[in-house]
Amino acid sequence: MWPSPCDDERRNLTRKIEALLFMSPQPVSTRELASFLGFPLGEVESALEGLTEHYAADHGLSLLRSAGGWQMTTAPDLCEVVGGFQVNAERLRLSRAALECLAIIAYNQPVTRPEIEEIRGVRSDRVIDTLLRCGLIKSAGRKKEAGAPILYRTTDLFLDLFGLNSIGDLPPLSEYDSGIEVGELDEKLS
Amino acid sequence: MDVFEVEIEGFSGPLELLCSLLESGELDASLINAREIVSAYWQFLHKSGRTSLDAIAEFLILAAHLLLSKAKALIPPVSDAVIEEEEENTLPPTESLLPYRIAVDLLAKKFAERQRFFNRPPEEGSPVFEVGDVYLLSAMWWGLYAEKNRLACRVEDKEGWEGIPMPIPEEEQVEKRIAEVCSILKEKRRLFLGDLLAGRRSRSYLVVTLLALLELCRLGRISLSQEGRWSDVAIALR
Repeated sequence: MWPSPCDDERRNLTRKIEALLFMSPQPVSTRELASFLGFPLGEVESALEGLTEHYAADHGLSLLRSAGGWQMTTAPDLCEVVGGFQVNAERLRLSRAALECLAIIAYNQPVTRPEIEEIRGVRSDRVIDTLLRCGLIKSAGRKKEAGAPILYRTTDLFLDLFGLNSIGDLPPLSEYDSGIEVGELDEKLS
Repeated sequence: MDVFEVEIEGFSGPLELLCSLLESGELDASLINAREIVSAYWQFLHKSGRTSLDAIAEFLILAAHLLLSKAKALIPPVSDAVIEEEEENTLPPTESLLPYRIAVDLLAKKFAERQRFFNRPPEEGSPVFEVGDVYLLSAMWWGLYAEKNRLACRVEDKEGWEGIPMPIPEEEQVEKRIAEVCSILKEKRRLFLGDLLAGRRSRSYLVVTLLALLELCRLGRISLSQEGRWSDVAIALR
């Protein structure tokens, strides 16, 4: 039986999405794909689901939902071989101080440096500067109060590097008080 | 319409093309004299009479592209940097910090998981500049400037660009205005605020003049008086 024109169209859409995601260095949103390719959102979502399933089945690549979009990555079980191949590609490592600052900014954004320091109890200007330089946070205007301190918020790169689709993916801060284990929280997230 | 052409060693062409080559790394931004090019472009706009809002916006965008490329070329890349253990918090956590400490564990776990996925690295340089980039650029610039001063190097080129006044810190402006007011008062002994502002209607000029008068009054060198609520302020040397 010959494939119907509708099937061909769908297959072509999937191939086009695959090609665009392969080329893009950053996550691409479903809306952006639909708008660029001129297809309804629902059809693009359905094609993306098909692609995700296709790559989940024994492939060297994987489709990851990250920072509000979709990104083509290598399969996680191949991280050692890929990491070993990219000898010169040293990856970002984050200290606990940096993670502490990021957590405070992520949960309180937009937030000022004095507010971060009040929670941490130590000076944080150097950590904030480094996070800014690494593009994990950005300034988001100034707070209307004495001294007009700069407000900070997290970036899409932060979401991408932590495999989050949006800030709403983080559990509410109150859940950390309930004595729940990190593993359980993560399971609830996924 | 005239097109601004940059003529430097190793490149001759439009400024947009230069910015694009610098951002793509095809030209080494560290070898470019950004100040000279931006200054020449400003003069070109000034001479061509293209002083519309669009022309000014275009100038600011191109200058920002050029300066950001230059700053990035001068400062070591941070993409593969390790964020050092700085300002490590060794104090016992306060009650408000405790939930964030647990959040750190979750973030560390998610970060480690995400690091198992490799993706195509982003291209160098972003075509979009946000407010944060300008802040970052300013922070880098003042950091370099402070470092230069710390090393007791001579600060060159204080005269500024042709046609553009150098920004003067507020306190220096007030000091300069105090000297001007004192010099006028030595001749006239008594005058009015209106005389001091004659022909100068800018708000900043008024603010600087008022600050200078208040400072002179605080130091007891002049007296200020006003006959009625809306009458001119009389200034007299003490």
